[in-house]
Amino acid sequence: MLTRGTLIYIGQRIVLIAFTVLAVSSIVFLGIHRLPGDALFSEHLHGQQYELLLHHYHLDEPLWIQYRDYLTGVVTRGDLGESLVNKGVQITPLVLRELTISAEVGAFALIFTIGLGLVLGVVAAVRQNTWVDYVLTTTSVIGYSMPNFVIATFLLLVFAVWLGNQTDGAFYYQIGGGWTGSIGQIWLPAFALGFPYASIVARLTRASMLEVIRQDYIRTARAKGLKETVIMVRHALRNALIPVTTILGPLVIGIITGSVIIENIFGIPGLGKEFAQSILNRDYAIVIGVFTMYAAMVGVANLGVDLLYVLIDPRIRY
Amino acid sequence: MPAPILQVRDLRTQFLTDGGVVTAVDGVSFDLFPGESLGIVGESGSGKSVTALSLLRLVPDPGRVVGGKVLFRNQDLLQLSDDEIRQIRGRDIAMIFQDPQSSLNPVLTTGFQIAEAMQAHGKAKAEANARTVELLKRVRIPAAESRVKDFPHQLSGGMRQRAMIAMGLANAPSILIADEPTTALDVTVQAQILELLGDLNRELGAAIVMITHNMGVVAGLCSRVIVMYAGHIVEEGPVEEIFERPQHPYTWSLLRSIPRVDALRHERLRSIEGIAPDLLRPPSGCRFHPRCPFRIERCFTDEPTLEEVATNQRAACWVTMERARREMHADDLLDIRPGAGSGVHPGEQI
Amino acid sequence: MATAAAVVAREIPSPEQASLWSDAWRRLRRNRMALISTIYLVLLVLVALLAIFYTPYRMSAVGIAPTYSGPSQAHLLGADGVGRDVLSRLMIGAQISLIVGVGTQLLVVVVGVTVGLLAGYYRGWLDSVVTFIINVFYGIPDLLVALILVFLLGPSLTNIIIAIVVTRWMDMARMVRGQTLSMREREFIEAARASGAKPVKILFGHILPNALGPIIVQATFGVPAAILFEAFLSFLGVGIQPPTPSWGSMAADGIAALRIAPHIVLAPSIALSITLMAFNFLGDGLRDALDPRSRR
Ligand SMILES: Nc1ncnc2c1ncn2[C@@H]1O[C@H](COP(=O)(O)OP(=O)(O)OP(=O)(O)O)[C@@H](O)[C@H]1O
Ligand SMILES: [Mg+2]
Repeated sequence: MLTRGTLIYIGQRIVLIAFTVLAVSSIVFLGIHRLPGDALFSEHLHGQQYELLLHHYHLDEPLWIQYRDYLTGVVTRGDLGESLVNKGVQITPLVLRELTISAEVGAFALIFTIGLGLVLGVVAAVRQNTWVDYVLTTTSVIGYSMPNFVIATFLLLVFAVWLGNQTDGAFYYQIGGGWTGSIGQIWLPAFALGFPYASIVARLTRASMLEVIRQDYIRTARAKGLKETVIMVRHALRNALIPVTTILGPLVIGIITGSVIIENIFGIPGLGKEFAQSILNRDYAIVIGVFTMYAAMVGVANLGVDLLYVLIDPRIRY
Repeated sequence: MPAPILQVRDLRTQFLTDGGVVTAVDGVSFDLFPGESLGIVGESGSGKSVTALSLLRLVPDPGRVVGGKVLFRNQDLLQLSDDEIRQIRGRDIAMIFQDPQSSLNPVLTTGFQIAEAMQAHGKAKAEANARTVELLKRVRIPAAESRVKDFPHQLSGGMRQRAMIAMGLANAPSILIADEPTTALDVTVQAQILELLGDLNRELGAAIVMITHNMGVVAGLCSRVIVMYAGHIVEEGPVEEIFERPQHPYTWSLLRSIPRVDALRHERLRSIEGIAPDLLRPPSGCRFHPRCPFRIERCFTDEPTLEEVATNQRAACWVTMERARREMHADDLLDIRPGAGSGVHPGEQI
Repeated sequence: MATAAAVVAREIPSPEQASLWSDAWRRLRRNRMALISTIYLVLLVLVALLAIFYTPYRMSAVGIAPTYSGPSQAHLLGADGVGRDVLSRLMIGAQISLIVGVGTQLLVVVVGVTVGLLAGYYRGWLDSVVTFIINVFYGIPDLLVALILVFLLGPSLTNIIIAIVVTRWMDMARMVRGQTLSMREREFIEAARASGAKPVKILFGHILPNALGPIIVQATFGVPAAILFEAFLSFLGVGIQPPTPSWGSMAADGIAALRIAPHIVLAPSIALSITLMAFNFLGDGLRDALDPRSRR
């Protein structure tokens, strides 16, 4: 699979991603720093103290010098600067640590979304125009119409409140208790994050499967005497995945976006929670840092999707 | 004559369309003998493919086999369970299709798709892989060892159809159904594929059912031929007889429309006058009567059945039957049957 | 010749128009989910209008009911954590949602249609620039950009609408551009061009009316997306500012009291979900009605 052409393509894409990330980072940096009012103002510091702080963060320098220093920091050392609210906290290690937590939850959500979406989509397609199909297509509209925080609320009501009451607190989901990242803690937020997208994946898969099972090669597979499950999974689904793959880019973006809310609700100390918190705290430095991270993640995810195409569809070569 | 390997009796297949019920195959009966090569010809839409698909219960939705029997080794294929018919497909009766481009799965290697046909019927993976290379050699694909790893899009059209044939032969079936295997191919490649099928038929002893528009293909490959029109068999018999003495006016016009060798490549068939019948509202009586140059009154109202009109040759035509009846009474009457005598066209006689 | 073409172009400005709309209407009425959704949305609009003049209680009046008290005769949906009437706040929330949803889509239609028409009609460098910008926007999390924008501009209803329009105009622009590209090659457009019709006339008199169906569908799907954006922003506390309620901020306020007073979070959550659903079903229905080919 990894031909020379593909490797060259990957190289080019990585360079492109790096530039995009830098561009996004710069836009956010310049956009934010043009504005009056920042975290330092809000602390009601006065005179000398304030001057000292301004100086500490080089905020007393002209904007273009700040930008130059910021850019050199990012490019040469991967340094995203220092938190404005918590003096002395370096952003890069903070963001990287939080990234691992978010990535864990996100990966679960992604697997869950794709898995559930594919299964439901295939079932709806195979049972086309039966009640199973109607129920699934109708509930999928309901699924993607529910904001993730609503889903999270319902999950908490059931698993944290109702189940707790039912079992006298012996077994229930503890909201916001210390985050250990255990499976038991991950699957509720993952479900809330993924469910709306699972509906979309299911819809796409259904449409794509219906298209594929009319194809001649499915008839060929039947004529060979293959088992129906083999035909559906190996022959139909493989091909049906090709158009479904397109949704993966937006899906990753959706999960990143969703995590900003879901991590807050479930008390997950990840990137999303940091992002929302920093915005409320007006900690620009972290907002820029996290957003830069997000741009990089989206870039890498899109590259991953492109490579996935190569894996699924042998006709695609870069 | 040996016992037939496949007996089709009164096969009926319908499609429930928005416009109504289309009976695409309507009371088709025929025998297939071991090792023979049987042609099925007819215009587009006459029900050739649906007949073939019905034999293996592969008719796509909204189609359904609604009646008849398909007897193979003393069992009716139409009565088997899904799993039992699956065992027959590809192992005893294999099928190859018109367009090798769309009939091969684009995301799986050609070799895998051939080996898979054997593994589905119990062959071990290693053995199946080894035999795949042999099969590819057998259908004369050059550099077979490396070609097994190629995806369909990396092969030429002719090679793809060879691979399809290899897939069909994989389990050494006793019947190979080929549905217009050459239509999508270049003329030169067409000839090669037909030659290959002929050789395989002789060498392997598999019975071949060759579905085609093309009377030329039938002449080159088949020993017996079935002519279909609007879901019915209208004539059946040995190839030489049918070519020399077609008994049904439709067969006669099909023969007249064989393209000349120097004709344009894409001109598949010179079409027969008149339009193909609408199967939603089939014509009364003989379905061919609106287009028939010889029709008599009876053709408008009564449906003719397939009757023996010569040794081993059967036709469903009132004109032919009337003539045969009169012949019996007056052997010395002028012979006016279609295509009778060599080179005399019935059109000129009537 | 030119005059004949002009006459033809004027006579048949939009070939399959009239029957298209009446057919679409008939198909839409037959779609049960779309019909139910329409009825719901009409009721929602009426409630929002009513809330301009009348709410059971003043939406910001605190302590008019015991805090966290559940549904009762006096307070049909109970009270929130500071003793405000949830129903009254829900009604104002409906106003906010509809203003944001419909308001953004009106702007998105103006911006997206203009950009799409121009890019599709003139092509060349303009089209390249537009396509580039659209692709850039597709590659970044739009909701988070909106979040940053609102944060930069300051939270207010207007700024929220601006932020959503800035991040959500591309779908419309891309679709209209595609329609324009394909339509500019059609005979009746060529005839109009040959007869010397001005580009403005061609764009707004010929191409736009024919692209109206997809535009309506796209805008209908845009409404729930925008409502969701606003709810999201308000949920995080950077959207509609207190004391004005938004379904998003009401849900966020209620989540802390999930254990003792679930009605506070359930009321806005359910209202929001049903509203989004209704718009999506209506969008589905409109799409099927206006483009029968898209149906299974
Ligand atoms: N999927 C389908 N839905 C509805 N009707 C069908 C379908 N497939 C076939 N038919 C009907 O069956 C008739 C016979 O079709 P069939 O494919 O067997 O023709 P054919 O003789 O193989 O023609 P061709 O030479 O074009 O392959 C058609 O005329 C059509 O009316
Ligand atoms: Mg056919």
